[in-house]
Amino acid sequence: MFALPIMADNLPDYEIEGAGTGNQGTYLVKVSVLSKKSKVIDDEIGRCAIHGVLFRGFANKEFRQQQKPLAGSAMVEQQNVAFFNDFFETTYKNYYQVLGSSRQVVKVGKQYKVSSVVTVAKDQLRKDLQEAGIIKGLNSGF
Amino acid sequence: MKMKNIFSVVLLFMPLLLWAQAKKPTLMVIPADTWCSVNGYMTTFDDQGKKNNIPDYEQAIQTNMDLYNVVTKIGELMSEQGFPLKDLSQTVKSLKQSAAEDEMTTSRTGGSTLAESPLDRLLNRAKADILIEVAWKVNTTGPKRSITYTLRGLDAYTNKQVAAAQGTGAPSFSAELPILLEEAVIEKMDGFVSQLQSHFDDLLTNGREVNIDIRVFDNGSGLSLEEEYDGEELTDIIDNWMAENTVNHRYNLSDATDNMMHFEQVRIPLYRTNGRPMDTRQFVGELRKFLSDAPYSITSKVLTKGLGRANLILGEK
Repeated sequence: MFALPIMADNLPDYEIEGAGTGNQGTYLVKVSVLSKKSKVIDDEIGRCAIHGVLFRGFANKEFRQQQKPLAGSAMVEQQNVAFFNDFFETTYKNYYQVLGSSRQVVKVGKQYKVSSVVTVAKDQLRKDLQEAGIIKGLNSGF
Repeated sequence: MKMKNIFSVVLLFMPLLLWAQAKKPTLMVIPADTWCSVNGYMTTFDDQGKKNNIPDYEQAIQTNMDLYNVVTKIGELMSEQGFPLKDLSQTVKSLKQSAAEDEMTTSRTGGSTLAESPLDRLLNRAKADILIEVAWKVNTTGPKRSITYTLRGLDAYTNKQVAAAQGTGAPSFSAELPILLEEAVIEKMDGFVSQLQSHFDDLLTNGREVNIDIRVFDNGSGLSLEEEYDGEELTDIIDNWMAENTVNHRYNLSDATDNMMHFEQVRIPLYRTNGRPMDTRQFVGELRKFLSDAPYSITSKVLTKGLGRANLILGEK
């Protein structure tokens, strides 16, 4: 028997913060990825955005935002390693959209900080995870 | 023999089958007292000669468009979570239609009356398990405006706050008030729902929390809670019944004398043995039936106040 590696181990270093109030059913977040190259594909940023919304939550002082992790906590990832490894292969692509015009690249020491604003379809994401039995809904138990 | 085994298995899983059909708690949004007071939606209620100011929900919901929009938006977001809300305006209308019939409750033998405040009447009519209180304030700094928004979920049985979301949004030069309000509702809803979820988890595990008072009618019968039956005082008999019938034996006898007992944090099951929903009146009704049987043969009357408080008055109907 061996433990499956969790998704967080395969993600680049990233930061997530709120980027204002999104349309109903979505979160608007700014994701910054630290990379040795100045070119980071949208997919990598989108994957970090979904991971951050699910397991880290985000805040922003300027917009006075604070949201808890959608999945409850990072423990949920460890308890459902197989599901999330599969989820982060392809399924996650259905829940984000990177706003192309928001791309910023800043050199920080020997690395680049590549940032983009991402829209995350949080209501659909939550609903699908509830249906898969990964997270509980308000309806659970009733 | 085989049939008997199948029957035993069905009996064993019966509680789980009933559990799966559990009734959802009902929720209703109301404007907070503070909001009603600041915006001039208060009315005077004559509480047995004493003047009390109470919120005028009917006036507020019928004339304030911002409130109407906020209540509707919260309702929309809760429906998406699978929890449609009780509609305040409809509840107020149906309450008005039957106000006269509920004006007074009278004791059958003693003739004593029970006055209900309009809020108690609203709660009894709506039978909402959770009241969601909403309030907001518009802040103005020069040309900038922001909204301070508060959402509180109150357990209608205990009046305890079970969920809350509060905060001030980012100031804006140009956004109109309805937009700022909509943003505030959307922004705060997820945190609120997550706390509500914790409360529902607690309800399902530990039962509903209510308060129960036992009193003795002063009618000259000489009945007292110190009366002994088979060497055991009535106080202890009631205490034992409570221990056996509460969820996980959870309750607190906070005060007891020879003519009163006050139980707090009494966790009653959500459902009766027949699978139908249990409320405070029915739970205390079970105790009434228990005491009416031999060897006690005590006549008693159940009086409820709101959803989460009931008095069992021993000695007469």
